[in-house]
Amino acid sequence: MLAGSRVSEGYWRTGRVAERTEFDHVRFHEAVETPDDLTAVFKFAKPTPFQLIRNALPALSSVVPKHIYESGKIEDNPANNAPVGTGPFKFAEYKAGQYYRLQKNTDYWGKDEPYLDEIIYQVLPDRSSAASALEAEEIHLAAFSAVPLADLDRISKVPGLKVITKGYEGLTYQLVVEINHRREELADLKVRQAIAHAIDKDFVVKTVFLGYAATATGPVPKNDPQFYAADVPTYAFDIAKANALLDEAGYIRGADGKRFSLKLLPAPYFNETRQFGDYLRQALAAIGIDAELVNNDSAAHIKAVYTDHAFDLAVGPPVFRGDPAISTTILVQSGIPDGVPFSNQGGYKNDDLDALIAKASETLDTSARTELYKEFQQKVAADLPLINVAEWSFISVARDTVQNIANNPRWAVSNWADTYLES
Amino acid sequence: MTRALALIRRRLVGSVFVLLIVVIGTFLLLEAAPGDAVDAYIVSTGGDAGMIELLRHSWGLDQSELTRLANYLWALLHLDLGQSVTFSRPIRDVILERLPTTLILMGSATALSFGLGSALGIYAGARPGSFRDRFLSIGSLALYAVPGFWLGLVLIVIFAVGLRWLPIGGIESIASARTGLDRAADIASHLVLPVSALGFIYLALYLRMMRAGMAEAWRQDFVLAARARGLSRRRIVLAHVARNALLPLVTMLGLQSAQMLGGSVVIESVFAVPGLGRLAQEAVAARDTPLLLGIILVSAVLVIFINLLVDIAYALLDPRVGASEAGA
Amino acid sequence: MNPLRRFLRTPEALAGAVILAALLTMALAAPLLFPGDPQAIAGPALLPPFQDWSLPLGTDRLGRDVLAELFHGARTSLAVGLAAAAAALVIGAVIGTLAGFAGGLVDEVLMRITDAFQTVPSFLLALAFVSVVGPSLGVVVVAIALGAWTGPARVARAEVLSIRERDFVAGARVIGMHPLEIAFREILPNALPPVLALSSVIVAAAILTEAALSFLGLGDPNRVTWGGMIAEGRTVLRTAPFLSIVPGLALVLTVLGVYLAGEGVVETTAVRRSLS
Repeated sequence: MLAGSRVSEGYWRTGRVAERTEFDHVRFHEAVETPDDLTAVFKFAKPTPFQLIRNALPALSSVVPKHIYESGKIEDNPANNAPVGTGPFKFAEYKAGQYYRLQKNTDYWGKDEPYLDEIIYQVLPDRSSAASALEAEEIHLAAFSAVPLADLDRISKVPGLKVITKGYEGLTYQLVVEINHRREELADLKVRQAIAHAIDKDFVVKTVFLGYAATATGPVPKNDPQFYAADVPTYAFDIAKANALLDEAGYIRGADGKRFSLKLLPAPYFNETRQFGDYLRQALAAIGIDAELVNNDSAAHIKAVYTDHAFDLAVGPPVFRGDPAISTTILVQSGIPDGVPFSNQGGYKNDDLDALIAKASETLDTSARTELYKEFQQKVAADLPLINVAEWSFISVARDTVQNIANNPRWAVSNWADTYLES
Repeated sequence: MTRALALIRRRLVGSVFVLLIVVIGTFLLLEAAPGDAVDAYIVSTGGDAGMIELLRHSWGLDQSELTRLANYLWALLHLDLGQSVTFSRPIRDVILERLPTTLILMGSATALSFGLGSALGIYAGARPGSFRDRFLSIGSLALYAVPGFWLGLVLIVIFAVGLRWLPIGGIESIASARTGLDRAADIASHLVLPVSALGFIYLALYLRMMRAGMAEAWRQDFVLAARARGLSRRRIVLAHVARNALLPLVTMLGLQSAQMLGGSVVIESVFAVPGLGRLAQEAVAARDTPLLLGIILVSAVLVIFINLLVDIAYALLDPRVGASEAGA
Repeated sequence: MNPLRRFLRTPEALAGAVILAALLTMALAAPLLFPGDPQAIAGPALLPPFQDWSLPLGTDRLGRDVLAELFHGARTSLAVGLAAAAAALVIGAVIGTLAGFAGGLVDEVLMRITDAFQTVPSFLLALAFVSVVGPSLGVVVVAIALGAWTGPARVARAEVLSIRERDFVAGARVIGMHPLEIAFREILPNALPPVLALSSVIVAAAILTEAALSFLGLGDPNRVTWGGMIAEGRTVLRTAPFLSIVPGLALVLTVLGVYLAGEGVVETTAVRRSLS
């Protein structure tokens, strides 16, 4: 194991570079003390819920070796491209655009581990090639949904291959309609409710995700055992009701059947966010809202939505990381500076909700904190600062010979020390 | 030979201006893009406003456009293409790493389309107006009408996925530790499909040009004379007709090089070939402006170089052309 | 014999004309046969072709009618192909005429610019341009035209060089016409036929480039394009290959039709010239 002092320094230094903005709270740590080689004491400037630290650390921090990072600027350190750690595998080689190769760490502390001699991460820029590569036995495993959903049904019947939905429990993506509340029409709750009623969530799960997703009720996914609240306002698919709400709000259909037009920006990162964009455009057309799709690459999308606010509706895939304080409350909280990606850039401001978020972040008692977040979910579902449509996670496809996979909630990014190939 | 040298000198001087226009034009175009490399970088890593500021500064993105253009041109003089944002390495190294792959792909595809195209062109042109002439000429046109990426997909479905004769993509079996001939054979098997997809499409150009040239040559005096001398048809076709028709095809080789390079962008993406074309697409996706600029520049240099080679070959093959060019 | 009949006498040209006529009919009839948005969801997703006669070619991943998309895609392909070719021909003709007529430094500068555009692979240029400006129909047209105008410019310049010393041009100079007027009213119309002969090749290339851009995800997302359909179908290539094959065949036929018809026109006019 690493000596304590190394833990401390390493944590402290990367803390500034790697941690994400949304993870504001743990940043208030003041120091890490290491009374002995196997203990690290984290000190915080203000009360920080242990629940949060426990949930956030594995997702957002890494321990790095002191002797490599103690001099020079962290962002310029050569080890950033050839990482050094304590895991079961050593970084061996990287061929840009082709592969990353890891080699067995013969000094690994786990007895007899790792079982694999070498891991090669092959870069397959084309999603449709992953399935073919598996079938041709060129690769053993395709994680992070590298195999398109549409191929899963077929591939699950291929002898020698298995489809695995486990191993990503700590990483749930949420399909969300981001709303720019600066638009007069969208600032009206009735309009937001109408849009929520116009979306057939079951259809989205069935068609866009081919069943590999769940419908969402609010900002915390159903699969979260700690925080999820089921008793929130829901919006059933109901075109008539949506139309009525829009009429009530005063947006009457014009001669061409349209009430108003808006710009819709689907995030480009996933096939599914783009496809949902196509679907949403149709769903909005059904209630007389004319949406123009604007497709951007990642950089332009980030800038358009989170810096320039040049959108009316956007489709985003925020991630729920096991605790609402990590990357979820930031989606609705006000006062976030322009340009922070994956945050509330829609100009939404709700003092009630802000107060609730602030209170929860300082509540140390686990059950009280959980209750606050349940209340948070109800408020969000009622006021719709954004619309949660579905939640999904990744899927792996592996050859039968690969053993001990998907055996922890972050398996795809875990250390794979016990994974082996059956011969 | 002096003619060839004069030609080279003239071309090189012209090329400097052309390249300057390319650099400045592309630089200004890419500057106009919304969102810069920092925005793209943040997508994959996350970061706050302070870090964004810091990155912009360290990547020199906070300077004025003109300063950056001047810096860029100055660096170019030292053959320095700058630093890639996504790869955190000098762009020259990144491009040089990918260039051989694209050159092999393009070279093989050109050889395929030129070789097979002109052979079939001779076969068709030997009997102008015959059934085989018409069939080949229409057939090749149909092939020329096929979108390269689509042909690639169809080839993958048939030969890689269906029959499993050939690998699906990539340039060689990964980390296979093959060496020498073994490795060359491995690379060749990976190249069969992309080279076919790229080469078959352009085959029509050479075929039709050859055929048209031959149809023309048949009517010319020296061919008539050869016939009068009682030479065999086979001999006339190969030694007189085809030989004369071949020269314009050489020019076509040069003209085609830019198109081939463009076509390889899509083909490399379909077959996951880690070449210059895929790099261009990666640069576009990651908003790695300096990298994209470097790729466009290197492509332009490559096209100029190929055309220069073609011109020299032409001047050596046909003294008349070189003379008029060099004298002008 | 009238040129139209002569044109239709070669089977290749006839085939080209038939294909283009069919395509044009598809494009024009699309809004009548398939009114409303072709991207509307019309049925269950991934319905194979020839199963349900109200959706003869089946549906795509979202349940959109493939036949309707195919018809509306014809509109986009034709519109982009024709618009880009027209733009390229106009830009090329104007620049070529200016260069050829003005000569000297203007010629030198314009030709260096033409060289520069010819040196950069046009697809790379289109890719960079669309990714910078953002994908929409107009941008795609401009992006394609940017890489296609150099051919017409060279041809126009060569023609102008051979025309500008002719008698009628000298005559126009004598009567004191403005040089620009001479260039564009006297010379350009005479230089045009060989430039226009390039149009079929340019239209075909434009259609293919648009398809390739859409395939890489750089098409207009609010319109159906054949390249976009192939890209969508690519993710389900194994499960539903018809989704990529059908629009691909449409593209091949269209481009082939353009080539064949173009060749027919060139041959007809060539024969006519040699007769006159």
